[in-house]
Amino acid sequence: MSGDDDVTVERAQRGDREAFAALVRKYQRRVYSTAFHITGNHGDADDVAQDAFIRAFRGLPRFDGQSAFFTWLYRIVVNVALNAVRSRKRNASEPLEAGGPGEHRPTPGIDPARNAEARAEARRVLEALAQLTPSLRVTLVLAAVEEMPYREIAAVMECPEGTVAWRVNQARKLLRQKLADVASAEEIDTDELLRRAKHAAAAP
Amino acid sequence: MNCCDARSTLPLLLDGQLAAGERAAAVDKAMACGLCRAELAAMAQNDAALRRALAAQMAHVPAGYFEDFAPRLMARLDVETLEGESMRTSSGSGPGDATVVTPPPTGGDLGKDVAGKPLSSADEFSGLHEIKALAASAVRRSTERRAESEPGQSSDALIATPAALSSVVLPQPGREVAPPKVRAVSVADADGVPAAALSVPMAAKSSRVGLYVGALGLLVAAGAVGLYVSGAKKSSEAAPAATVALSEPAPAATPPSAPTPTVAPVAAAAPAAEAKPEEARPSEPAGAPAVAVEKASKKDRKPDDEAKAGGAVAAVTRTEKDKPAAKEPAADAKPAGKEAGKDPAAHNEIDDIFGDKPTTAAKPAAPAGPALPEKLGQDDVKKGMASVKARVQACYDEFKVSGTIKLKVKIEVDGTVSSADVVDDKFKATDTGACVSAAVKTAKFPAVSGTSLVVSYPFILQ
Repeated sequence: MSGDDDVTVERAQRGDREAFAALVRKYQRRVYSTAFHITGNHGDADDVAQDAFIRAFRGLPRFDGQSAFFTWLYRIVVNVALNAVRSRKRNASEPLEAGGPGEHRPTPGIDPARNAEARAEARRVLEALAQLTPSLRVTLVLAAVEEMPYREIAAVMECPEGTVAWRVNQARKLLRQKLADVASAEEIDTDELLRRAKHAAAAP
Repeated sequence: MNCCDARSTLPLLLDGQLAAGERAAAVDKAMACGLCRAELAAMAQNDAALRRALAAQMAHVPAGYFEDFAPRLMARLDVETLEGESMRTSSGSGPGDATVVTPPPTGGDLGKDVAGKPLSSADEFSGLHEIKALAASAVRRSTERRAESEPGQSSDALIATPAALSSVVLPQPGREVAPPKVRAVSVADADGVPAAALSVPMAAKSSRVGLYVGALGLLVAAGAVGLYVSGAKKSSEAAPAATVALSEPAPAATPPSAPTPTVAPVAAAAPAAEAKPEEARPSEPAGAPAVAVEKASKKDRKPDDEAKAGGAVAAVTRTEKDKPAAKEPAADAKPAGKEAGKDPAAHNEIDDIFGDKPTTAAKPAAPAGPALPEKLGQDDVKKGMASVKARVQACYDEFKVSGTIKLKVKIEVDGTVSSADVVDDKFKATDTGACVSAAVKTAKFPAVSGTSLVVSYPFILQ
């Protein structure tokens, strides 16, 4: 938890609604995007994000500060989202939305053919993601998209780090199998990737 | 580290999970291993495709969604708080509720409540919450009036002490006397007996302890009367009357023996009305506990009012003309319905506590009837809402907009819904919202004797 969060969280714990509103504004995008990535549609993501913040507000008195506020909040978001997905049994039967109302809106300045290609790729990826189990999906999204350290993911998912590593690996493997023809659409400069990896900051 | 080792570390490498030393070794190995490079490239490609897909998905979030998110959430928090208060609050803030409080509020508990002691959650939904709140209102009101009518005098108990009794001009039996004035007496003059033990309101406690304390108080009072009678050599006919007056509160001390709810407070007030104020008043300890039975203020009495001799017994049968002498205790303790038209301020105070204005006309003092519950319980609300669930579902089937729709629903005393307003911005002013609102308005709930209830209720559309 950052120093700012410490103070704001303490104020919110004392019932300062404006402080809580500040936390909401700070984390709403990440909370919503995680909810969106797990549930796969805007309506559910909105419900999950709202419910998660409401629960966080109610649970603030019990937040002991042993973990970062955001990790604690993330755990709530993930639990609420997973419950939503499980209760609605949408994870296996319903593909994630490949886009909202603007799905067919062409992106300005981009070749329409490339636009269509990008949409098709996105749809395939989201469909493949939706076929993963919720825990694999969430873990992969947190690691590969949110770029969250495994240790934090372990705290959020309440499982050992080793389990996180296995899930990430397994999710990638399954996704690659499903996207064998899609993933080749983009060339990856492996050398560049490795160079960056070598000089990246050490893992926390 | 061989090739297989390097491949197993590739995901960790990609996710930046390796420590510096491990990372350098893994990169060097991967650089030299074709399979590792291919695998790493494939993983990176997939991750990039995943990020693009999710970013594209996020790009379709409605415009202004995040600007609106926090205000909407905070509004929802406010609504849910309101809902919680609504469910805790008695739906019966109307005059009929006052009938719940039959005896005058007791000094001990009320003192704490008036002092701001929070009502425990266990009191919620038990009815005790409302009783305490109403009683607190009565105490506050009486305290305020006393402060107005007798400035500088702190609230205290009306105590019969030898000092006070010595100044009492006992009425002659069968003779009409001018209404006696009331004088408060310090608890310090109670001959070591705790003020609460002698105070009428404390004696009105229904607990066993209260009974014992009340009995003790009566004993002391009776002793004091005896002393007075023997010492002051007053009229031998008057003594029994005084005894009656002082002992009358005893029935009120045990509610089961109190004849009727309305009699008890008046009877309890009667001895107070018989006390005489001419005696010099000892100083009162600061912070004396507030009590429910009030001193009748001078301005509330008419000089020509008549009070029948016989103390409390006479007080019970007093006519309307006599009521000013015991007006305030009665106003505090007796069913408010009787004075619904007389003291609107009293209802305003009750309304303030319950946070809702009564929507029905004043009711008679008598209970509304055993058939009607005082307020709706959570189960009643759930049942009523369940009855329109199919209609609500039909709204989703028609418009196919999923999500949680929350409505602020006002349930009238007759069980009908007078308003059902959509709270969520997502559904406000939409066909789905209008449809669900119309459906909820058809809900029926059990009629209650209290007042309307406002609840916030969500439906999941899917």
